[in-house]
Amino acid sequence: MYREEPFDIAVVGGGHAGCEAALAAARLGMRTVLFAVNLDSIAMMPCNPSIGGTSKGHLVREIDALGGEMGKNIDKTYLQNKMLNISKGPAVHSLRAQADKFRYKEEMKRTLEHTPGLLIRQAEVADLDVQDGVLQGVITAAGAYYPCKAAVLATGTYLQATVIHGEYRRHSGPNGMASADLLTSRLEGLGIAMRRFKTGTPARVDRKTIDFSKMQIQLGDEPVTPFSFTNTAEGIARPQLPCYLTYTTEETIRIIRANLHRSPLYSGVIQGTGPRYCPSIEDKIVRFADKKRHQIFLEPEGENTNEYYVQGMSSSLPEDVQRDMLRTLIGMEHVEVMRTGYAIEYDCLDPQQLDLSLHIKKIAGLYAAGQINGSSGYEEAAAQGLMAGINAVRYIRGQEPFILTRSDAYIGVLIDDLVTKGTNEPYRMMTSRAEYRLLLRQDNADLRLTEKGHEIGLIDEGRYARFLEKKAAIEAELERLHRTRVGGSAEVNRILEAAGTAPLKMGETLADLMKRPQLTYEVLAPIDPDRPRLDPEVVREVEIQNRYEGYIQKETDEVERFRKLENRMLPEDMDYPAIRGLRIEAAQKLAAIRPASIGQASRISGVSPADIAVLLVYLKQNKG
Amino acid sequence: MNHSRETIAAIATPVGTSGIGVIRISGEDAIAVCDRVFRPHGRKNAGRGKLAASATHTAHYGQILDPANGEVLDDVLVLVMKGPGTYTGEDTAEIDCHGGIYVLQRVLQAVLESGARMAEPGEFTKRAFLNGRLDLAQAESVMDVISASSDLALRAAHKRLSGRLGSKIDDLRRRIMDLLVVVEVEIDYPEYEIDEVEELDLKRELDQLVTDLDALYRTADTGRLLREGIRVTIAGRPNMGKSTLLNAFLGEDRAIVTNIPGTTRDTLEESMNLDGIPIRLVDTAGMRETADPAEQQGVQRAKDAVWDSDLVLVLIAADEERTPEDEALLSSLADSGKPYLVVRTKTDLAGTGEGLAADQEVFVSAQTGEGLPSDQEIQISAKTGEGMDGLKSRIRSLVLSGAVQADDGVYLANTRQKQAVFQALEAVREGIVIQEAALGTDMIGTQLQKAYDALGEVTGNSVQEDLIDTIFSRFCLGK
Repeated sequence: MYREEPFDIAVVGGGHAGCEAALAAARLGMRTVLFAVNLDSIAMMPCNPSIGGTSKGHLVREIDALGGEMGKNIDKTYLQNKMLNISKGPAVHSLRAQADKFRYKEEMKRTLEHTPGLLIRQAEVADLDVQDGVLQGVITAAGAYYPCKAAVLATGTYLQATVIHGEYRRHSGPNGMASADLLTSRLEGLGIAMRRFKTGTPARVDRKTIDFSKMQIQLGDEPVTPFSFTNTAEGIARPQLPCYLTYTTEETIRIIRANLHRSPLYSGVIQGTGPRYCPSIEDKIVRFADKKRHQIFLEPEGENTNEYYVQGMSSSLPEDVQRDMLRTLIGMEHVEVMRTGYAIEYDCLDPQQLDLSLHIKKIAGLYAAGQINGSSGYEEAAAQGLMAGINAVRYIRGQEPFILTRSDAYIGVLIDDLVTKGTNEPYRMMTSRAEYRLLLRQDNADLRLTEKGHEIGLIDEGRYARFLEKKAAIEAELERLHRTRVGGSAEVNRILEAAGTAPLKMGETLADLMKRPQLTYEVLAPIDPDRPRLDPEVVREVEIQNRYEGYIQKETDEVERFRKLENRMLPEDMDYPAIRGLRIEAAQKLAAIRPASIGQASRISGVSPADIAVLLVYLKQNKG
Repeated sequence: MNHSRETIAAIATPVGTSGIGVIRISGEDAIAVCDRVFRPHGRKNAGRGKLAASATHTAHYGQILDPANGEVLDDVLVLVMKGPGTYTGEDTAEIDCHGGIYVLQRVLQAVLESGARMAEPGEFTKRAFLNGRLDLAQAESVMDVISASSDLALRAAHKRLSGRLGSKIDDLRRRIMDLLVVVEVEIDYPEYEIDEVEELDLKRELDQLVTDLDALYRTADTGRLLREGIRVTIAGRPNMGKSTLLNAFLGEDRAIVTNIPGTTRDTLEESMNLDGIPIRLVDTAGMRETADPAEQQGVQRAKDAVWDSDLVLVLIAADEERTPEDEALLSSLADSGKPYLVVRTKTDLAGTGEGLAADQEVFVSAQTGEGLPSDQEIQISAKTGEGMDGLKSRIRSLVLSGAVQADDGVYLANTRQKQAVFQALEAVREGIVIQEAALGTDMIGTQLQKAYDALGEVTGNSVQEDLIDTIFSRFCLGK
């Protein structure tokens, strides 16, 4: 073993979590080293070639508002960009982009390389130096000792990874990368409970052998919506590539059924817990036997490649079966497989061992982010990476951890769910997990979080000043709309009736008029001649905030009640089993998870409202 | 520290057979809530703010009106007490009702519809403590009160599973989830073609839910169980004459009576009135080891009925020795402290034997039930009617002495359920408003989540967990 120069922070893993963690740490002035088993795997997208989508798009915008990189990087490298759910309410509008995978990772690596204070190092971290429960450094498999004050584990699906399809089984990380085999046993040795999860990916096929004319074309939006609040639609405009929709046939189902005995899922070879929302095609056919056909989406992997991702055909069936079943899809009769789909099993940890700052409770200075915490998805990983990076820095500086609550952000919901409730399968973000989703919209992520990003130090003054301007413009315009009254003149009523809405009998404010579904800001232009010239983003925000005012207010009131409980902190040294009146099950759960607040405690399964009442009384008794 | 944001209400006196009861309302709006249902003596209408304008610690005579239709529910005395000089430290109103238990619960219902919510177990005491009205040294007893009353609430919640209102609520809850899952799957998986999503007529479904919730709310008579009174369960081995006794009480052949052991495979419930005391009589399947699955179920229900009752009549034929099964039942009753009577049946068949006296001693020594007279064993012949008067008068005196009381749990559980239905109804109605204003299905989903949560159990999964489980079990999704 030899000794390297000391670093402040070591990030173990160069995936989406590792990149955000390392960038946040370095940008906050920490001397940072990022390790990856292979530098070509930095920001790799080993599964679908897209970023965002329902609820995930929200995460990306939140990451951007806090000063993270994912939004900027996808804006540089997208192949197609689309706002989903626009026919539904504003809470669930969701941005999704197809990514050029190759350019995505190249751009991200370049950003890392140009960040001062950040070293990228190809090496497998094999050991952690922990003295008296405090992290002192990390040690690579080749024997280099890197002293550091804090580390973020972002090992993705690499720990003791095994790739499986059919009868073939290989000790390997994703996409042919080497696995990382040494760290698991060290973590177990430190008393961290590990578990095994499973996920999978479909085959990649050759564009030359696909007949797109038999499929439905799917185009992006024009103009596009940038993920990053620092970009404009014109600024990132570029020609977009289409995706295609096709279907399975009866023959697909027949082939899969005939070969189920060769599936490692059903033969018992695969033991890990897989995600329900990402089932393999064989799983779908077994579980939804009466469904006659399944949608399959073909998505380009990049601009300069013929590889297409076959979304909906994730599989660990043998290679020959995969080829045969892919050739039963409409328009894919002659398709050639370039990469075989596979299942991958990997080690991760039980996230209930973390606190809300993503710190592993047992070891001071050690943080974890991404799939190692039982999550799934690039965006979920990036969000955790950013938070873990920020909190590792704050730990070193002796500052309070930075925690987002369930009413602040999807990021808060994500981390609270993982840490408080735990998960038995890879965890995916969904809009229905967010109880305050009308407040946590993707359009207002900047309004919710830029201030915090600025306080942390990841939002520079220029961007912050522009943000304050936007915020002031929204407030001023809302105020003007509430103040400005319109009388029911013949001219006004003519416009209202033309828009298909009732004429005015008495005067009404512009704000009230705009609550009518037919009356957008634009429609009202002729009867509102004195309006200021505003940025379209400001107008959109004003429209949403005004139209949903009543419901936003109700949800804000609920958040107030929620905050009261979140702000009732529980001391770290609570002796739960000794509290009279607490049921045994509740005391055990509370002692294991050690919630930070009464609010968090109330979300632990097995803790009843009566237990919470007992805790409140106990707190009062001991505070006097 | 101010914990008085939400106004809570509950019946503050034990629910017995007496007609007098007190409803306590506590919190910021306690007096305003009371004003909404109170019509002072000599006035035409409720809701004029007389109580709010009055001095603290004053009593007001008047009537409580149903806010829905102005119907007079009861003549009452209202005590107005303003914080902090009250039990909870908050503004408090207490309504003294006279019209009996049925009226009492209707008055509570009126209060709950006028802006209060049902108090949680031990919540008045908890608030008193948190608002500094109780000594710090009392904290532990406060915790005991909370955990004890929550046990009671849990038992009540368990009890409701077998109730009719309970099963209707479960049914509606499932329907809300069925609808919610279709709304939400379309939001989280917009690019998927899902038949249920395409076929969904959201407006019709919401209207139907409102109709059914409203019907349930209006017909769910939370007083029903209580008007039917004290729950008396008839238990014992097969062929001990349980059904014969039930029929003797009721004076009709309600239960099938044969001498084949195990005839009553299910529990039967009947109401009767014992000198003005409402009694709910429950006949159970005979308890014995059996391999017949149908009979096993009956035995399980019989055991449940025993634990749900306020008084247990343990029947043993006068001409038979006690068996280990009898011993087991009696000793578990004695351990639990649940009031019971040992009834020796079929005395018409038994000789007047010395064996009986010996048995009697054993029973007396085994008895540990508190508050009950020690000579509990009663001898009857339901067939000839001999001893029936003695049994009835024993039950009557147990009730009047307070040794046997109706369990508040059933009552509480039902009032809570009715309030839950009300909240769910309001949420779904809001969903219709949102739909008519075309504000977006996401917000309708939020209202359905609220409705589902309102109908939920005290414990159990949150709506998010149930929803996500249901989404992935019903729909084929994912890359």
